Amino acid sequence: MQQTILIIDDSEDDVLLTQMVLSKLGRKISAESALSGEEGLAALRDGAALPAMILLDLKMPGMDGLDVLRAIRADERLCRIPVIIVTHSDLESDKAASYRAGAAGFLNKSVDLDSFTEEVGRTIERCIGGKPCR
Amino acid sequence: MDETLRQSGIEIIDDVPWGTHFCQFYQTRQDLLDILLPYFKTGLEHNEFCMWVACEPLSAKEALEAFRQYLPGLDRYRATGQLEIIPHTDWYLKGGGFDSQRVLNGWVEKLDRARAQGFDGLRLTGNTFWLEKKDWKDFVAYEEEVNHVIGQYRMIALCTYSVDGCSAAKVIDVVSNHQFALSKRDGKWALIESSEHKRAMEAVKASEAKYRSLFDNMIDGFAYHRVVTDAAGKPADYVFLEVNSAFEQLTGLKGAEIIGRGAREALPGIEKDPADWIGVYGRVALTGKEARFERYSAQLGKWYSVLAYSPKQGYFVTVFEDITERKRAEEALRRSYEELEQRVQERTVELTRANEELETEIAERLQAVEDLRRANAYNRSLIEASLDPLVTIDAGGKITDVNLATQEATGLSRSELIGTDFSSYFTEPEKAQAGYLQVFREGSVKDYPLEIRHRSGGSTPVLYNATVYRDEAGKVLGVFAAARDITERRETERRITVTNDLLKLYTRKFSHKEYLDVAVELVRAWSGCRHIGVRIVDDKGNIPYEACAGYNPEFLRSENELSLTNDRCICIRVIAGTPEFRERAAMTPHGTFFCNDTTKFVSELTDKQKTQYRAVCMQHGYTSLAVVPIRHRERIIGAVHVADERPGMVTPRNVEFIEQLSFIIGEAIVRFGIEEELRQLNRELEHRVADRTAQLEAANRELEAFAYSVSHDLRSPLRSIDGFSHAILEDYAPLLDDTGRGYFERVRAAAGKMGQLIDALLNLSRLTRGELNRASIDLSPLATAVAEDLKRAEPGRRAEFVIGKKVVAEGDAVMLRVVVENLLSNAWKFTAKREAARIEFGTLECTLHSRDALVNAGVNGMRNAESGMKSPERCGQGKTVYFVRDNGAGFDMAYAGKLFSAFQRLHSREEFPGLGIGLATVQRIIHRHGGTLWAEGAVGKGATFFFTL
Repeated sequence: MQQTILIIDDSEDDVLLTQMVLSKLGRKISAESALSGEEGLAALRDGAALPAMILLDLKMPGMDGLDVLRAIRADERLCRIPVIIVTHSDLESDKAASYRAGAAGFLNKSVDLDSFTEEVGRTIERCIGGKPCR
Repeated sequence: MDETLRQSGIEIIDDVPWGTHFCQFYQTRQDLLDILLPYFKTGLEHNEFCMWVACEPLSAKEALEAFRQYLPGLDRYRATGQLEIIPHTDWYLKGGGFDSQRVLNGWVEKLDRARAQGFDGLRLTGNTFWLEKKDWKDFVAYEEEVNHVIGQYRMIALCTYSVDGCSAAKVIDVVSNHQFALSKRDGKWALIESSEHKRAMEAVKASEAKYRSLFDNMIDGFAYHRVVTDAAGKPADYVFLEVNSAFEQLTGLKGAEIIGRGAREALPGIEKDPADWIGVYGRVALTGKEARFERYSAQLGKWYSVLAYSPKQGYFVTVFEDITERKRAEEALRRSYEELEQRVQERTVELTRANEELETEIAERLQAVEDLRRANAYNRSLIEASLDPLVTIDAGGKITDVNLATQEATGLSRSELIGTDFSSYFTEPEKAQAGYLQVFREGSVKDYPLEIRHRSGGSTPVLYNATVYRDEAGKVLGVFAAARDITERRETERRITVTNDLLKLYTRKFSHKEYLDVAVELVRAWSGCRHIGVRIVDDKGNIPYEACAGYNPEFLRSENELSLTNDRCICIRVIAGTPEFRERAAMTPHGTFFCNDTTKFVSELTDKQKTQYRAVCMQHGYTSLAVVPIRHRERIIGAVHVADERPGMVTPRNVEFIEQLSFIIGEAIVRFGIEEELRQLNRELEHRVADRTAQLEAANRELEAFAYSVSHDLRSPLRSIDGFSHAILEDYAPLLDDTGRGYFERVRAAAGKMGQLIDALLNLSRLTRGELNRASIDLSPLATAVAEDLKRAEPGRRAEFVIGKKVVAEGDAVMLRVVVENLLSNAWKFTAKREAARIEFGTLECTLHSRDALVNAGVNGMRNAESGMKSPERCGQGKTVYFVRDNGAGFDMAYAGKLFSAFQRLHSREEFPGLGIGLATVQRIIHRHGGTLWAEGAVGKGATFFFTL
């Protein structure tokens, strides 16, 4: 069964690169994307089907990653979707704030592409499989 | 009487003073006798020692014969040793020739001996007929010397010269060396006087005449005498030497007839007079003790009141008046009184006899009573005299007796007290009762504290000592209780407590205001006065109440407005030290004004004086008032203001004590003032430091945040560059030729490099954030491990690491690891081109010695470099200096300043690869540790990096 992953990131380049990475994992995954927090949240709320997982950037104009994460966790219907923070930051403080807000994982996208691809693969294996993250 | 003036005995000269030196020119023996016989006779008669040095033409023997004929009593004088007649050979030429000094000394010796024997002085003559031509000059010099010095001595000298032996020149010599000369002219003796001598003599005579007239005009009789003693030294007679006219009138004796004569001769029978004149006067003259007496003279038939004194040993003066008339009147009175007395006595004897019998009877009866009374009165007076309140109590606790002190302590009379309850006169009656019951039970109590109540409402603190007293049979009759007033002792204790409390306040960390509040309360509690305030002069010259108690708010409002310069009132003048005249009377030496009745004080002022007072204190009803200046050193800084509505509340003793306290308060105020100022300054300083720190921290945070965010933002595009190049190479490689693929490889390599740079920057930034955890770390094993890693990475290199043992440092373990890694890697990198690399890591002690060591090691010879401009000379004595030294490429000291800046390189990347950020990181870490980093080196000669922590 094809699973859907939603990428919320304001950088088109990064969305593109993430989709490229996902396509290389050799799994039946379809990737959807939103280029801002607001857009991503609207897509989640309006969409009939929910994604299996969300890859969420932290630093975005308007609603940032943490705002989006909190909104998801506050939403009865959405709260069970695992959210993985994918960011350029390697700050402990960002990591801690993300986990406190209910993130299921924290990935640094600054590492080289091969390492990033491996990380993403491991995370998807851990999180997808119908197991609720909360 | 001028006693230096002597009678010469020579007719044409009359009186001469001591020190007269004159001469006679003679032709015949008779010429000599004419002058010398009366000259010596007068001397002998006036108690002078006489010495005649004879020579031809009148030998000593002939002179004696002639003198004996002239003065029949002469041998008497010779017998007492008053006269010596000797030949010139025994005097002038004694010892073979004339020696002027010996002769001069001889005269002085004679004079001394004569004075010792009681003579007035020395009268002498010397004949010069023996003089030969060869001696003339010496003798003239001798005479000149005599003339010069004789004035100092009690001496009269007459030198005789033969006219025939003298040339005119010699006559001049002789005359000029004597005060005057006698010479015979026309058969008569004449005086040759130098004009100077004449003038002196006239002056002497004038004063003598003046004196004489005074003397003669005295109302009291006056006489001057010399005592004559017998062989045993007892007074036997006295000779009249001088009398005045009053003497003649009062005695009926003529001076001319008695002067020079003895009293026995002038007043025959005087030696037998019971008044013993000779004995009395003799004692005066010989002992020098003056005598005053009234005595009857049988010889003169008169009463005299006499004062006798001795101007010098052996002489006496009498000053006297005739009191015969007075004595007669007294005698008559005495006789009539005696008669009266006689009659009274006779009458008394009769009465006495009658009384005696009666008295004996009464006396016997009274005696018994008296004995008892006396004993009682004695005891009673002891009790009454006691300053301690004494009281006796019966078994029922009623007072049976009291003394005066008890009456004073209670304000009640003896009759009011006796028969009443002892315990009712105390502030604690139960305790008083318990006290006397204890005495009855135990026999006595000691130092039992109670307070006696005074009817006026006051009380006296006392300590009671009491014992029981018994009758003869030993039965207890009552208690005798004595109280000791301890008001004084208690007051002293209170004062000590107040003083100590004030002193203790010092040590507690009170503020100035807190201190004064407590001080005011202490003074208020101690003094009992209702209103106490402390006024302190502020910087505007106002004197507000810094602390006070008991004043009403209106009073304070009006008083706090007062300024030292503008207002007129007593407080201000006390503090300013400028009291009005009227106030000085009410001021203590300390400068305190106090008054126990302000109404009275003001009522005594004139209207004009009243304008000098605001009378605010009086309007508020403060009758007792004291303003005690508070001094610090000599300066008045304020005042303690004491006030009370009741009169008499500021006693001089209390004022004195407040004055003592004011010194303590003054000291404290100044001390607290200084402390507060310091605290204020400290607070301001801390504020400024904190502000500045906050500013710097904010700036740092901003800077770091900026650096972080910049490097962070750089990563995003870099990821796109790297990611898409990667995607192209992987997915579209067949569409590109080799050159195209090569270009994309380069894009990827550059992106990788840039990623590393950004990571390094982020690391650098991270190092300056976060906590610094200091600990003691041994860097030696760390350095060894780093060295091993480096060697393992390039096994082909010949390199030697020299790592000091136990290189211990105090610092953050993580950061110090970065320092060691960076410095050793740096050294490793720059020695890559050496045949044999040598890298040292160790420490130096930064002392004078170690600086020498640095020089010896050749490192100090190079200029040192460090971006912070620090140098080893400034690193601080005793600090440990760590160093990493290599023999690598070194650097040019001219560029040393750039060594520690991020991304600065002194060598091309191709020559020595690297990010150019290692040393910048090292420097940041060293600075965070508060240490110093510097480097020395030269191109091709290696480099040494030094640091301290």
